[in-house]
Amino acid sequence: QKAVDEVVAFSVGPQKAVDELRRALAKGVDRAIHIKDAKADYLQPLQIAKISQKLVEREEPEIIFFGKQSIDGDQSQTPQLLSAMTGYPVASFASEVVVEDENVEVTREIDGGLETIALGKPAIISADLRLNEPRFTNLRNIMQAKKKPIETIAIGDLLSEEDAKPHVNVKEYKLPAKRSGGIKVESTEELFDKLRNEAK
Amino acid sequence: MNRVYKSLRTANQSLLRRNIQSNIQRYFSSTSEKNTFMKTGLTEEQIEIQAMAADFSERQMFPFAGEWDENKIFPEDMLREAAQLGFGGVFVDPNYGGTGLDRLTGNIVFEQLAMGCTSTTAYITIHNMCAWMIDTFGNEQQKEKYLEAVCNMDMFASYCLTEPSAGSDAASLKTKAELKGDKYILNGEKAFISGGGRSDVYLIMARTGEPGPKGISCFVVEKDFPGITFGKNEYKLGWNTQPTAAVILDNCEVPVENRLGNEGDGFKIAMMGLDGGRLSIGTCSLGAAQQCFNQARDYVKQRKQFGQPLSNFQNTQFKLADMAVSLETSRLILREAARAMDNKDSDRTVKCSMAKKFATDRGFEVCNDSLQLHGGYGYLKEFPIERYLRDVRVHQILEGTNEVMQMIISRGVLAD
Repeated sequence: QKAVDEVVAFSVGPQKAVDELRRALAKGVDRAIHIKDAKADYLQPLQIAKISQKLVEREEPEIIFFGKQSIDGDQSQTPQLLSAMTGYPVASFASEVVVEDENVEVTREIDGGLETIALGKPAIISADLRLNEPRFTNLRNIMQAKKKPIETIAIGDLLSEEDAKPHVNVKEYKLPAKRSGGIKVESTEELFDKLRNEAK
Repeated sequence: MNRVYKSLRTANQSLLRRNIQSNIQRYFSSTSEKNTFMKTGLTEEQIEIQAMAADFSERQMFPFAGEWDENKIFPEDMLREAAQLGFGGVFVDPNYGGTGLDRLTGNIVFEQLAMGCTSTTAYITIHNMCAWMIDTFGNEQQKEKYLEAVCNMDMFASYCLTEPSAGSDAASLKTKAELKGDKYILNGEKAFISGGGRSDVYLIMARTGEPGPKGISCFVVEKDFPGITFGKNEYKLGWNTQPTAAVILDNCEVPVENRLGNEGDGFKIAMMGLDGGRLSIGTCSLGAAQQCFNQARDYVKQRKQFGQPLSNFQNTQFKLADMAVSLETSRLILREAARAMDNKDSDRTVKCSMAKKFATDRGFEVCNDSLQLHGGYGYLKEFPIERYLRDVRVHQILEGTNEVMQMIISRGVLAD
């Protein structure tokens, strides 16, 4: 649609990340950057944001797109952290994006409904489910994908050892307690007591 | 008492029907992942392409195929969308707007598309055959003029060889092309033309010289040239999503520069086009049969009789086993024929004929077996099985009957 000059995809992870980058290239992305890290599962949003910041400094993009939250951590923090680090405005949960000359107009899905805001560029956006229907990949693009460049950067080049240390230590994952049955109370006083002290 | 029982039974039946249908609709491509040879021998890129074609077929073809068949709709919007994605000129040089796939990869695409709508995919393969003919035998001027539009499906293309009195004996065709100044004047009638009436360009084989194959030439005839008219849309058992009509030439004026190749090349061009076409039609039968098999496989796990799912009975199991073997062997012979074409093997025509005959015969049987496994429901139009069966029946007849395939194969086998 010629709204932008170039689209670059990047991903942090082991060799498998390259498959995803190739898929992105097949969908029409111009080039890809693979930040190589063999393990990658220790990485938290803060580290991703720091890596992103380095890339943003290098590439100077007009718009940076993220997904709204990852399927593993489910945190929805990276875009907002990057915004704080770079000073660029951020619009999360975008369901509609219109790129204009000066601004980017983004419609966000919020609890109360939809909010439309204009961001100056460079802008950070995180995509919600309803942003679009993934397009069908053009056959020609699938074939050209293997000719498009994927640059590999070792993670150590963008993230110092100090920064790579996790800030948040996950102590435990557990399922919520199973919903137990209700109880019958004898009097209004008992009901009041339980409401006040137990049913928080 | 009986009346109450009857109405409950009917209510249960339609609930069961709806349940089965919704479950079946969901299982479009998931079971194709489990097919033993679906990905055999394919590169990463081919698997990616296969997945993309499957996705398009599942979302843009399968949900609508029944409606297109019922209302005899030629789905132009979907076709143009498909062409945008590169399906309109699959084998054509990318410099002219094509996708430049080899035969193997192209047929992997067609197999997936045919799982969605067999009739429309068959049309796509015919359109692609014509595109390939222009790309391979056309001169620069002809390619500049027609190829990009054909690859985009801005122009739909048709292949015109058969006549009312020249079917299997194609070389006896009577349509004449006489050179008069800077034009050929064509007179004659072509029968059973896919796309007839709707297509924008027609590749017409006509006689410019002696009787027999050596006197035939090939012409690119546009819909608006003076002297070309069309018969009514034929009323068919299947292939209802594409028009089929006679093409009538009455002193039709075709400029000299629209002759494809030299005088006398026409039959050779037509036959070389058909090698690829036969492979593609065989692949369409495979796609249809695979879809029918997937549906049957899922149905027999749900349907209970005598206190058990049908899939517990050995009869059902053995039937499915035989169907699976038919599918995989068809797949292997089709892909081998495609490789032979890509390698330009000297026996590729025989291989394509073998593959076409085998896959179309087996494909029909598998669709038929699937219908049987569905019991009474298989006979209802609410279930898609009968449509696939009707669509594949003609694959055993056109692009060379399976009897003509036997002629070609025996000639190859008996040659010194």
